[in-house]
Amino acid sequence: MVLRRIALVLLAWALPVLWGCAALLFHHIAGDWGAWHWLAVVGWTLAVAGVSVTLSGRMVADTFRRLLAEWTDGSLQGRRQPPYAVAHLATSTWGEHYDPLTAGLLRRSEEWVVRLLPTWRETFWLLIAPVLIPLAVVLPPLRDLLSAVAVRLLGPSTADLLGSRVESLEKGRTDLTRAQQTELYRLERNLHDGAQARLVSIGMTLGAAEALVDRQPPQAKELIGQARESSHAALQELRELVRGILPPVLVERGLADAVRALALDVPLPVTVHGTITRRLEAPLESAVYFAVAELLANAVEHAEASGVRVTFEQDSGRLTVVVEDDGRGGANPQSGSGLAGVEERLGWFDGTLRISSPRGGPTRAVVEVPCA
Amino acid sequence: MRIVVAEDQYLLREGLTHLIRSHGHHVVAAVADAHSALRALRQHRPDLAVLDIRMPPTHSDEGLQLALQIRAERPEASVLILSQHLEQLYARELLANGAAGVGYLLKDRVFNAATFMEAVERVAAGGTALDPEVVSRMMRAEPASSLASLTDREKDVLSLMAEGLSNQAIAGRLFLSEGAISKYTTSIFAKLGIEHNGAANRRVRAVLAYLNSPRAV
Ligand SMILES: Nc1ncnc2c1ncn2[C@@H]1O[C@H](COP(=O)(O)OP(=O)(O)OP(=O)(O)O)[C@@H](O)[C@H]1O
Ligand SMILES: [Mg+2]
Repeated sequence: MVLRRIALVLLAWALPVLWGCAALLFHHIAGDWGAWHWLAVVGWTLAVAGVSVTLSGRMVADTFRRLLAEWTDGSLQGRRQPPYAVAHLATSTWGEHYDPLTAGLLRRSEEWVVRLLPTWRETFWLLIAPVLIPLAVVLPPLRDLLSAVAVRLLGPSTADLLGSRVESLEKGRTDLTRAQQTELYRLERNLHDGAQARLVSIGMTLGAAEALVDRQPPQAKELIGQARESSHAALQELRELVRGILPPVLVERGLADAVRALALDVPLPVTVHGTITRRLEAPLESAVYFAVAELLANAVEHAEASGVRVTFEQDSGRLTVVVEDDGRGGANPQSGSGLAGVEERLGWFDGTLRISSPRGGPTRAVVEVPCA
Repeated sequence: MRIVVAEDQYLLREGLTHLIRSHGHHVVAAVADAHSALRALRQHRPDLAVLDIRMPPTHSDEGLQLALQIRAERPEASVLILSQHLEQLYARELLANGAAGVGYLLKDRVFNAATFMEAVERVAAGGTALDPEVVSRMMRAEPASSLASLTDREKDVLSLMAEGLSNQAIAGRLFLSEGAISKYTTSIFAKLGIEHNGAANRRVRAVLAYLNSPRAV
């Protein structure tokens, strides 16, 4: 793939040179030329150069992006956004004047334009690169300059950055709505099959007891006892449910103590270090809590660890929670739903989950979220 | 016995007051928030404070904070904390300075008047009442190897000891003789390497210190 691209680029750049050489050769053979002929040859060469460079510019720029990746540590990444992103939203919202055929053609052609043609910045880069790169190779101090220029001209533009941001927010919003709906279904189902059903049975049992209380007091007493047991079970179920929605300790004490409380319930020695000086926003707090809960559950379930260490670190604008176990490693977000869910949920808040878990261990998971 | 009740839910406060009175004790104050509770406790110096953990003004853990404060002021004060949910963390905070006169129970325990009043009286008399649910969570959080040497019966006895029951009470619960229970406790302490100590509430602390303490496995 890369080879083919490089070949194409070389070809595109060689074309005008070939034409130039051909003109010179012609000149050599045909002898003296008038100014008119010269003009035609130069013009023709420039035209070929223009077209071929324009058509290959995109690929040349992309190839440079890849080649320079090492020098500019990743700052050239970022996808170029099609310019129709907003138009697309607009047309699909105000449907009255929406003409799918034209819109489709327009979008398709815009897509090709974006895919094929270089931007002004890329063109500018193409103009100066042939000078700058050899210079930088000869004079190593110029490399910093080169990479700065490359970042400026080849890196994503503000519009591109905003575009990808809009895209990721849009995806986040969709995920969030879907997750909320799933959660609501789960709660509805849980209440319906659990506490509600128990309350119905308690009501019925008490009704039966009431009917028996005069004639058969011992049976009535037994029924009342059953009703009491049922109410106990209903409360137990509600408690479990509440714990899954929003653990009470989290509300009462905040994240650090909630994690300490959780750590005590885990059948592994878990030590908790560090403090959180400023309380986070409630939604963020619970996202981090459930992230730690999943990581601890994984350490118990999969790691065969002898202990876990949880560390909090809060600095201006960021909270980091590190969960490390001394187990066998091999954690992989792709092979289950837990870690992927954590990543998604943290993503809603611009948080991240990084996992290092080589085979043979240890596993180190780092949760990072922005916090005011 | 003179008791102060602090609980913000009207029905439960009335229910508790009624239950305690019907067992021949005296409810000297029944209040609905933490500030009034502190005032009542300082004023009446009751034999027992029954405190809801979550009360106004902040609806977080004021009952627990109040208990810790009152026991710091008056170490012999007995407190019984009631809660909708139980946390090992809270249990450990409550018991950190001694288990004498401390109780921590689920609100549902009120349903069973006899056992509940038994716990009330035990705590007021300087004993301990830890909810079976907290104890079982502590046992569940133990690494498998740690209690592996105990028989099932011994585990039952260990749980009941952790709840704060005396040998006599344990014997009653398990339908065994007191002598049999005392044999079980000796064997449990020997197997787990816990220092034996007679008083039931000291025993609670020793057992809890063993359960879920960070130790090599
Ligand atoms: N701490 C860990 N040590 C070793 N392996 C781990 C650890 N955490 C996760 N893994 C591995 O990574 C996989 C993915 O974990 P993940 O939490 O995403 O899914 P799961 O735990 O298998 O299922 P779920 O969380 O949905 O119940 C696990 O199946 C397990 O093999
Ligand atoms: Mg998992």
